[in-house]
Amino acid sequence: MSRALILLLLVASSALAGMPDDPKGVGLYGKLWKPDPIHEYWDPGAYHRPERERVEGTFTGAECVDCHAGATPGIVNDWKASRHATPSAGKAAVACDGCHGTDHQALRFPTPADCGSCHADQHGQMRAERRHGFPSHALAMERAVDARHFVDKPKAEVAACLQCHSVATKCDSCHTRHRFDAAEARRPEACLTCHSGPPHPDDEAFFASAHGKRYLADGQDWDWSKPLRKGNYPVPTCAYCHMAEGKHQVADKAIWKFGLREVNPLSAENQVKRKRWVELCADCHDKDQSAAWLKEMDGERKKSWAMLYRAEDILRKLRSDDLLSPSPKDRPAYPVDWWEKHWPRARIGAVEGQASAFYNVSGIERSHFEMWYFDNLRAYKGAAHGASSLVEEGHKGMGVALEAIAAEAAELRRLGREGRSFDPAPLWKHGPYTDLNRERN
Amino acid sequence: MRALLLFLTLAFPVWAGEVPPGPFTEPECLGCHEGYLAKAHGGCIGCHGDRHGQLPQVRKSQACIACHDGPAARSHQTSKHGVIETLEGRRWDWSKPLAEANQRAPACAYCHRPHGRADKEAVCLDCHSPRFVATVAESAKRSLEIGHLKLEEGRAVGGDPAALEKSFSALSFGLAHHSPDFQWWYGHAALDGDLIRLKAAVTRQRRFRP
Repeated sequence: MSRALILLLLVASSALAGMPDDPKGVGLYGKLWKPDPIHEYWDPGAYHRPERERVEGTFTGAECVDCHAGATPGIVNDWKASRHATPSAGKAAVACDGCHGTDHQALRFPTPADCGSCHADQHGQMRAERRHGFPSHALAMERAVDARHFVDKPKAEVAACLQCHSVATKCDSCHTRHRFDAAEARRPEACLTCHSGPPHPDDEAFFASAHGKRYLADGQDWDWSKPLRKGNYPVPTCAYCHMAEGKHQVADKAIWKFGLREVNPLSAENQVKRKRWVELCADCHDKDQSAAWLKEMDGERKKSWAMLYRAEDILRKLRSDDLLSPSPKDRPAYPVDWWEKHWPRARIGAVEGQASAFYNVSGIERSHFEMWYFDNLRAYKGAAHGASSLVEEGHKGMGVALEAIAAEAAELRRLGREGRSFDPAPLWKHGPYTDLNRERN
Repeated sequence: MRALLLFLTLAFPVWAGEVPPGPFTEPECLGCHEGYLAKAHGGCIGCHGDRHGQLPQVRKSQACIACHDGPAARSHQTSKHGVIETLEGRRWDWSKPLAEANQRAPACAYCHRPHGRADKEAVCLDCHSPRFVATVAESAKRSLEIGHLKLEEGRAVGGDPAALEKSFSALSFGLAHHSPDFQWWYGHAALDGDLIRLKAAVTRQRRFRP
């Protein structure tokens, strides 16, 4: 009897994970979703609770190391090589108990606030970044969980989003645990786990630029322990420009931001930001030349938006002529919108919320989404980083997409006049994945 | 006694401290290194070269990427594991075996043991906590199940069954190699796009009046 009880307790205790017993969603639509267990690791501040571990007792840092050198040698190796273990003169060492606590039954999962208890400058900068709004790192997690498609889709599917957006809720995205090496964070590769891929080919844009090519040639030999300051590096890398002088803010100079909307680059606020960019470029470049490059980018953006508006126009005309196929009522509703019950409508463009309308939409709407999110953003990042190859590819892609959209629209008009009648709802409203998505979320 | 003498004679160069310089043919490698099975790679020389002293180089991811240079490599390289190896690998001691966190992040062969199966979840425990490993594995399983549902939906629609393969493969690589980009943009979000295109093609067909 007692062995069965012990076994039951062991199983039960291992099942007592760090999540609260009845975890709830957070954010704008928190009432509508429940987190996947992995969410605890990407937002420990929101979800971690001390868990029942198999090891009991309180331990000093040295005692943690004794055990974990055998249990998790990677962690101990990392820590031993870090400045937490051997700090610079005058500073106290930080061992496991400093961040995780001493009670093995009440272990802390460090959040930015914990790091901020010593690294107050950086933490303060990150918190202050919130006032710059999108696309600040500090707001990234809230941004993720408030996205309608995040709320709507199965949480295991969108667990991928949490990984990158955890830049807001953990401090180890760029200087990884447990080494926490600033030198690692200064290098472009530290950014590219998240800043790569179709809607943000930032890594490709940088490596294709003159700056990037120089980095690829001999960057591995530079002294990355040096601060990100004028004179310390032959060319800038991501953090040199976007976190100048090591300031833990990325949105403070953002003019075009994610690239999904047209902005007025010459507004009063943006004039101030332009000046700051020119001053930063002036670390190495002539100011007039830098200002000219910024203006070139304005031109590229204007060109891209002209094409995007033409695509939006085509779609809006189809919408008002009720020629989209499937029509909004013949496919699942736009997520998390009670209007949809009474007034299902296609969403076109940033203001209408198209960001979450990339699934359960018609073919032509998806084509527009990809033109906007992939081709447009490729050109944008190319222009921003001085990578003309990406600008050309992006513009060419947009041209091809626009032609395809126009052709699709012409066909939809023809089918509207002469096509056979066909009820698309069974095809678009049901399916193994679609049914799961509609029932569970 | 004779067996012992034979063994000592054959093994003499090794236990005398001399390693034959080579170059060697495949059968000659296996003559001494009898127990090794080249799993699916069909040979020693393709990875190890034809003489001794190459082992440290072979442990690096670069050795595998030479052939496996598609989504397998890219999903690893864009993951934090891959980034850490890219940035710091030059300073690691690759003469040490791929085990017990001798290197700070796993290169390809750390998890994919070419000479035999490794328990892929057990190797994670060298650096990560058991609960984290179990949670990540479970979450990945659920994500992959959802990917399978999308494949099923594609098959139910009809049309080209290969249309979703590339994106599903990217999702699998993304989950296995911990690349959020491959899980999402090349994976799930791309699968959504593939499904739309399949359904749009069928819708057009059905509406088309010749």
